Amino acid sequence: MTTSRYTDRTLLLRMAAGEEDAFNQLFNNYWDKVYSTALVLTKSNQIAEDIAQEVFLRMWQNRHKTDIIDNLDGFLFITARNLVYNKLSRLKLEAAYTNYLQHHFSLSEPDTETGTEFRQLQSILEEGMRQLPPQQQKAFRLSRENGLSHEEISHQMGVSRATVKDYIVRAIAFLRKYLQEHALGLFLLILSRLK
Amino acid sequence: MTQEELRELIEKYLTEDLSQQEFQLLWSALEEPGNREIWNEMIQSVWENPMYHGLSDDHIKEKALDRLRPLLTEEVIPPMVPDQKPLVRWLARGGAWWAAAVFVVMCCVGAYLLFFRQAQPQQTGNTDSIAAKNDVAPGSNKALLTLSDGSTVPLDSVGNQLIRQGATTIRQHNGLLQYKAQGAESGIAYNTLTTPRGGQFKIVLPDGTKVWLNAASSIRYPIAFTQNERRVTISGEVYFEVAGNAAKTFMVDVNGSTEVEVLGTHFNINAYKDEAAINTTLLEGKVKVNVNQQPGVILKPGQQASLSTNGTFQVFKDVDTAQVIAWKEGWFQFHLANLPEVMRQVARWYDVEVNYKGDITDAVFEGRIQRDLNLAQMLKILEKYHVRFHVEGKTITVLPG
Repeated sequence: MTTSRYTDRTLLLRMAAGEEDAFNQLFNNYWDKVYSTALVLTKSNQIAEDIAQEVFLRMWQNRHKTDIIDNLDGFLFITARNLVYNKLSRLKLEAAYTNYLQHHFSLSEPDTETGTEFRQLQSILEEGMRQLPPQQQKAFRLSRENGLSHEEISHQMGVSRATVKDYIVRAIAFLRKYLQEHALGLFLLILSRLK
Repeated sequence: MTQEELRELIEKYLTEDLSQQEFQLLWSALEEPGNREIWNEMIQSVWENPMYHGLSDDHIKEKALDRLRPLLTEEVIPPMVPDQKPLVRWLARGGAWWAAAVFVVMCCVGAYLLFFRQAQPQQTGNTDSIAAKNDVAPGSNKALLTLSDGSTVPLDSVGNQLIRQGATTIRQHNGLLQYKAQGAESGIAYNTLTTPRGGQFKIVLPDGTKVWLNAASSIRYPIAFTQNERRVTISGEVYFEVAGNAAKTFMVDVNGSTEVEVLGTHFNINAYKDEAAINTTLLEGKVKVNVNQQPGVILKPGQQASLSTNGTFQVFKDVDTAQVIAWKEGWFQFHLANLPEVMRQVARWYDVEVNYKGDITDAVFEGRIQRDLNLAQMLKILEKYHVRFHVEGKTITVLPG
């Protein structure tokens, strides 16, 4: 976050006084962090958007409270964390998730019907991968296309295993979002296919 | 499951897809006491790792902000019990002491009823039906320009055009009309810019004066200010930022009864015929308001001259000028407004008819709402304060609360 605590505090006091402009600035400063975290954790663009919106709505609704004014970052983190947990634990029970997974696995062997779709998706995915920073792209390709373990990628790229993990988490979150935007709902196939 | 296994499973969740069994396993593990801590810790490392940020983009962000905006403003408009200040203003308007007392009691009863009723959630069952039927879009940039020969040019928010009239060039760029005189204009030719209900427009006059027209308003002006004074005629609600020119006084005629002589710059005139008074509010500079050809009063910034329909002329001090010009910034802003006052603004902006059935709530409204909401969204906000509506096409009937 590039904003200083001092600036945040001024903005928080202005927001507490009901200034929407201050809300907008705080929204601008923190949106990316909240949304990105929710996306990495839920792996769904739609769920991440809903959660991040809810986080900022709660920030506004609780703007008078001291726990926001004293530590906004902490408030946003805890609110996001709770919403993610609730959403995922509900997802566990939801038929939607079961379908999602069944769909995901049952279609993992291509047949003629899904072949065209598969090729389309592959080209969209390729586009998305090209937009990744080089290191992330490399780690992701080594993992999915060459089937290397994190350990092997770590040796090959000369970075720590933790960094490999970071690259891959980031790449997956980005690609899921990219595919959701460009290939609507059919994205699930491809990430598993490439394993 | 050991803590180590749980960490691995969470890491796998983040780097790959889990099978359904693994996903179930993860979630039942998280329900065990102590395991949530590990999950929280791993989430915190995602939160704090800048590597994972930067996944949003402007489109997603804008969309979210658009969805949030109406939710923010809903809160800012609770009906309120008036404090000392409005009471003083009411008295300043020449109300007798008992009238002020009645007013306060009325508001208190209104507010009491509202707060009391608010405690019990109330069904507003017709909201969905309002939203579902043909919704009415908010007002937008549109106006009609009448040229000196009587011909008309419709203007809307997406138009870009050049209109030539003698030595004058008129340029339209979206919601703005700009006059540029090139060389001397012979004789006086007048143009009129008129906004319909549900329209607003901005114009820069040949002298550089900026003028904002609210809905159902008009301004008539010469295409070149060749006379000794710069004189324009307006109706409805208009905000001016007059360009300085000591040699040529800027004069505004309002409904034939009020004349504003501009000695300085920024002011708003609200002269809707269905409002109780013509109000001239000064934000910056100095203006002189002359009424019915009588020598007038000079306003200082923050003051408002008010000529009521019954002929009473008064000057109010310390007016909330931000509220007066909120319309120009894209807001409805109400200060101790009763429902008919609120609905008159709604009617002009959405170009709808408003009827009343039975008793009208005596609640007063305080706060602001954006003007870019659809009618259904706007009414939904008012419904939170227990006003009920029936909407049919472009006619709104306010039902007894």
